[in-house]
Amino acid sequence: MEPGYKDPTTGTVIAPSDRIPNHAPPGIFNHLGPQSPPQLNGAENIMVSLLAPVGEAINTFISGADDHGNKGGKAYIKAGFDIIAFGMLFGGEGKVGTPKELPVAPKEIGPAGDASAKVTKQIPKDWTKESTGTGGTIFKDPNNVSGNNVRVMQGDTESPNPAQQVPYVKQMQNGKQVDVNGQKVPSNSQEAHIPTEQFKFIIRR
Amino acid sequence: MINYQIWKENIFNGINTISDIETQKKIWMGKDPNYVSSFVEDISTLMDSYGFKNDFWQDKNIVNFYFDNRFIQELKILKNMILDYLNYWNNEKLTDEEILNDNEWHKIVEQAKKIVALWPKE
Repeated sequence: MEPGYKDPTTGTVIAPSDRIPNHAPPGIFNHLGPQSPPQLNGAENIMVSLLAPVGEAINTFISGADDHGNKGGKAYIKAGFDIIAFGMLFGGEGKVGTPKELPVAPKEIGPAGDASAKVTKQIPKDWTKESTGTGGTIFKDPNNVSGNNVRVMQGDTESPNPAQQVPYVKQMQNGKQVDVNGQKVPSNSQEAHIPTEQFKFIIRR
Repeated sequence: MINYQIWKENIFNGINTISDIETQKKIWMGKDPNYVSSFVEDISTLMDSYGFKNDFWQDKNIVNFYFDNRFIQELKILKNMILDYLNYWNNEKLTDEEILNDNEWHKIVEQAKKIVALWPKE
């Protein structure tokens, strides 16, 4: 009789017929020993194949740990990584599908209102950063908080004002609102609303 | 270096904007060809760009405005009303049109009007 998989964390033995797959990619389930890897359905197999590089990286890490005498925890550490990896894939909103069906989230690396960090990366490192509480972020000169600042806002596609339908930036220099070229403009003018994509940090301290 | 005279003018302009619901109706609704704004923009301008949420209230700053204590209390009432309303707005997801017809917003407008009327003459 083919041996089942004994879960190293719980001691539970899972029969081969209970979701034990036949072609796990390298690096995944390698800690299970010589028995067959878990059986998965088509969509799951695709998802698992995406995990192969992760699994390989984990195995490399574990192998390194072995060299330093940490063999005892290998199976437990590996099982933990597998659980986390599968949680990431099959958890979340509960949607499972082929890679083409999965929604592709925009890459968000900046704060509220500046998802692409187009503005954030131009701000001097010593400026402070605060959430506005209105879906934006404000950066302030620590030596002149109310005079020199840059506020980036999300924009609202429902706005009747075109200048506010896209993410925009308002910047103040020495207490005055300025446009994209650093010229003084009224705070509620079209020119004061600088589209994030056109923003250039021009404030002179 | 901080210019408190400009900062004071900005705070006044921000509160004056909050106090004028007729202008809000025109500009927030996109009916003014020259100007652009919204609830979010007017509030963020006063509270964040002009520092009325935090920076203004720091001891090292507020003394430089030379406001008396009774007036500062009126300003504090306005600040707290706006912060409470922001919580409400975040929970209820009100549109600008709904805000313009909201009695709670009208109370804020009235408090802003009171401050504009009490604003110390230079």
